[in-house]
Parts: sequence; structure tokens; C-alpha cells
Amino acid sequence: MVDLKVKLGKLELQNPIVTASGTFGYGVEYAQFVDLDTIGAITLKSITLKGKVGNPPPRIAETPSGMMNSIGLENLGLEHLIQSCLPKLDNLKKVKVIANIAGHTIEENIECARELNKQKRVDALELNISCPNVSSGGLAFCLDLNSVDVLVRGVRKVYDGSLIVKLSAAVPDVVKLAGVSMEAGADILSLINTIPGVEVDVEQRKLFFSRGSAGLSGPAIRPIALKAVYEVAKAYQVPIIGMGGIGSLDDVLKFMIVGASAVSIGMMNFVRPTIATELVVELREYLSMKKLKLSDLKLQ
Amino acid sequence: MCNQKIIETCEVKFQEKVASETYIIKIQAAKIASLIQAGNFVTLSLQENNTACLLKRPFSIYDWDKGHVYILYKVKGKVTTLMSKLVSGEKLDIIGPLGNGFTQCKNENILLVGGGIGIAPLLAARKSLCDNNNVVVVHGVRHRSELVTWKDFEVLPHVDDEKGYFVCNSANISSLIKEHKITHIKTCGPIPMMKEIYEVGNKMNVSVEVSLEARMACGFGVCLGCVVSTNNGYKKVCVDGPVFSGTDVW
Repeated sequence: MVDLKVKLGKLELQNPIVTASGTFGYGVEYAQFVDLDTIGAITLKSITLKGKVGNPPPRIAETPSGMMNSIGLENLGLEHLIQSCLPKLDNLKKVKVIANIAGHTIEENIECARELNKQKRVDALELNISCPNVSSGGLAFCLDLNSVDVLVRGVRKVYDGSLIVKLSAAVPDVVKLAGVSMEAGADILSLINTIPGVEVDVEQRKLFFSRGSAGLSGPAIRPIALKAVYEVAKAYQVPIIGMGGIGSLDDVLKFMIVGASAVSIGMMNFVRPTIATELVVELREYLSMKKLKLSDLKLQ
Repeated sequence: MCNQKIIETCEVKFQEKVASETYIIKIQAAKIASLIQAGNFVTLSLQENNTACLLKRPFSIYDWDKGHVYILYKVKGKVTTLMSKLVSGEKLDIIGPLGNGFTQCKNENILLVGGGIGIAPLLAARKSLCDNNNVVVVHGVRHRSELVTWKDFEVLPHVDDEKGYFVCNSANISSLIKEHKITHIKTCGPIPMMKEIYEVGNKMNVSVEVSLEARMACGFGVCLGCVVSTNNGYKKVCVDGPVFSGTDVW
């Protein structure tokens, strides 16, 4: 049997298939469709300290080969995550759980990280500094390298486990952003988040989303994501979780070949709720058939 | 609320055009069919790898039997156009049953008002209610060509351009309430129609349930894309609904 184990710094996964934050709820929503314990890791929906009601509808639009969302980080807050969501994942033994925080301010993120540091069920923490759908925090962090430095350092101080920083490709220099994040204490980088875009309601002659811009995801952004992963992997020796429109084994292989150590499935979880578990099986079969190891998946 | 949700790859058994741009598709989906409550919906996608339309589309279940789900739908966009061309033996990927369903009633006089293709979930409601209640079904359409002929039960047709007023016209709804001694209304269709029906019902002390529609990415409570604003904050159409009490919405 092909060994699919991967080590992202200190974080060991039974296989490199991860689910992306915001597309997999708090895990339990998918338990009716798949055995969660077959996945490498699940990343929980972003939380903030006190919760958020999110953006006014409409929140979703479909685009060619993708979708746009303007959810606005709706969540019930840190306390709800700890009291209600994490206990439901206690019985899972193999899948790693990555919590995701997206506070508005540096202080809010530090506060969330400090509390999550005490949670045994949280195996790693992903810091979302790249959500395009909020008025403060989110992508604004990514656009200010000094803020990234202060934020990541602050979270690093209070969080002892594996710290993942989720980056946007909608920045002037993703390699520089990656470098600052690593310098400040990120163990792992995940990239990319959704790309800001605009949709128009022609009938009403209005912007479709109330905030104007929304986040584009799905296969439409895959080449952008591959470029970001490729460039960061070329520049640094750092574990990368690659994501952006992964919908097939071929896509998984592409991300790993350009330098991702693991990959995350996003929008396609909505379309095929079983996709993550299916990709684990397909990846194993592929490597076995080709007589390859995971480490052979690199640019020649 | 329907707890168990099934993913099935299903075979199209039969498809029939029943009115202008309106079709009934019969799908073999035994597991889903065994769990359906009136008011549930399914999401489906065509197996053909169509990158223009990746997301599954939500459709009300209009009827079901042992082994099959029936969807009454109107051709409106790319997916429904492709759907209308499916023939027996072709496959669909379906998730269901989804959503909460209509509340059950007993010994009531119930008015079901469907606007346009909004009639679909109400026909499921009729099926589940007709044994224990008096049920009056009204189908409001803009043009006569949109009316479906039903063989096994009576549906009162209302064609806006012929009668000179919308089906939800206050006088029309209140006279239906009086004539049939209506004690409860369920409705699905355009928002202004449902709102007017709710307001008339509210004035006459008749409870109103509405079935809402929204764009959604997942259909099972994860994407948070389908929220509607209610008196209790944002609610997800896919899991908190699609059926809501009118008093929650207005």
C-alpha cells in the first residue's frame, strides 16, 4: 500500500487531502456523506471572537467554472466553536482538525489563538488574513506587510501548535508576503484564498453584491493558484497547502508537482460532498499504478 | 427538518412537457424517495461535465412514489434547458431530501396558492394533506399556456391577464378564505405575491406558511449562501427553510 503520510513541519497528516475553510462547515455537516476519518485534515469555517451575522443577501453567484461568494464570515463566535463544534469531532481519531480564525483586528486574532491553544481537538491553527469580503481585517491585512508581521508574531507568541497563514494571490508580491509570514513565525502557508471580483445585475443595472466586490473561487482561479504555489515553493523551503479550484486527481497532482505538500478542496465540496475522500483513494491508486512515491511529485 | 440526506446517481425514467416551457421529470431515486416529506427539495447536477454550471441546482419535489422522485420545473436557464433535453436512461447526480418541509395539519380547511412554477411544492403538500383536511389548490399564472392540466385532482386556475388581477389580489384571497372557510394557507411563488397573501391572511386570522427560494451553493447548511432576512435574523433557506411561517418573514 502506498504511504500517503505527509509532514507539514510538525503537523503530520495521514494523507495530503485537506478540506478548505468555509466549504466544509465544522466537519459534522459532512459526516452524513463521508467518513471524516479518511481525510488528511479538515479546516473549520472561519470564526471571530464574538461571531458575525455576515453580509446581506445575495451572497452567491455562479460564474463560468466557478462561483463568487460574499458571505462575510458569518459565524457564531469562538465560544460556540469550543462549546458546540469541537466536542462533536472528539470521536475522530485519524483526521487532523485545523481551526481557522479571521478576527478584525490583531488583538482579536491573538485572543482567539490564545483560547484555541488550550483546545486538544485543534491540531493546527490557520490564520485567515486574506478574506476579501469584510470591511476590516481580512484581505486588508495581506496588503500591509507590516500588519502581517505584527499579526503573525502576535499569534505565534500565544499559539504553540502548527501555525498556518492563509495568503491571498491578489497582492502585489505573494513571494514577499510569504517571506514576511514565515519570518514572523508561520510554520505552514496555505494559498490561495478567493480572488476579489465584481458581478453585475444587468436587469437592475446594479452591482450584484451589496459590498460590490466578492470572492471568486473554483476551477476558474486554478491557474492563478498554481502560479502562487509555484513561486512561493521556488523561493522558500516551507510546507505549502495548495488550493484553488481543485476538482480532480489531475488538479491534486498539479499542485503537488509545483510544490504543495498538501492540497485543500474548496468549492467542489459543495458540488460533490464526497470528493475529498474520493481523491484520497484516487491518489493512492495513481501512485501505486505509476509506482511513484508522494516525494516523486515534483517538477522535473 | 429532514436529517438524513442521500447522494444518489439516478437514472431519468421519463420526461414530459406539460405546459409552456414546463416539464415533469421522473427520476429513479429509491433511497431519497423513501425519506421525503412534502416541502423538501433536492439539488441536482447533470453528469455531463459542464464547467459553465458547476453548482447543483435546487428543485422542489412535486411528487414521489416508492422508488421515484418527480420534479415539475420550468426552463429558465442553461441547466434547465439541458435538463429538458434529457431522455430516459440518462443520469443525474442528486442530493436529497433537503430542507424542513411543510407543517402537517389535521381537520383544517387549507388553501394552497402557487404562483407560476411555485405550484410544485404545493402539489406535494396537497398529497400529504388531502386525506386529513379539506384542501383547495389555486394555481396563478400570467398566461393560459403555463397552466398544467391535472387529471387526478382539482386545481383552480387563475390567469392574470384574463381575470384582470393577480391571483394574490387581496379581494380574491379574502373571498377564497370566506368561501372555503379557510383556516390555514400555504403558498410558494413570487415574493410580492406571498407577502400580499400573508398580509390578507394575517388580517383575517389565518396562518400562512411560505416556501422560499434562494441561490445556494451546497443545499445542506454549509456555504451560508442562501440566507434570507427574517424577523429572527438571517436564516438559511436550505436547512432552516425552505418553509417558513409568514410571521417569521414579515
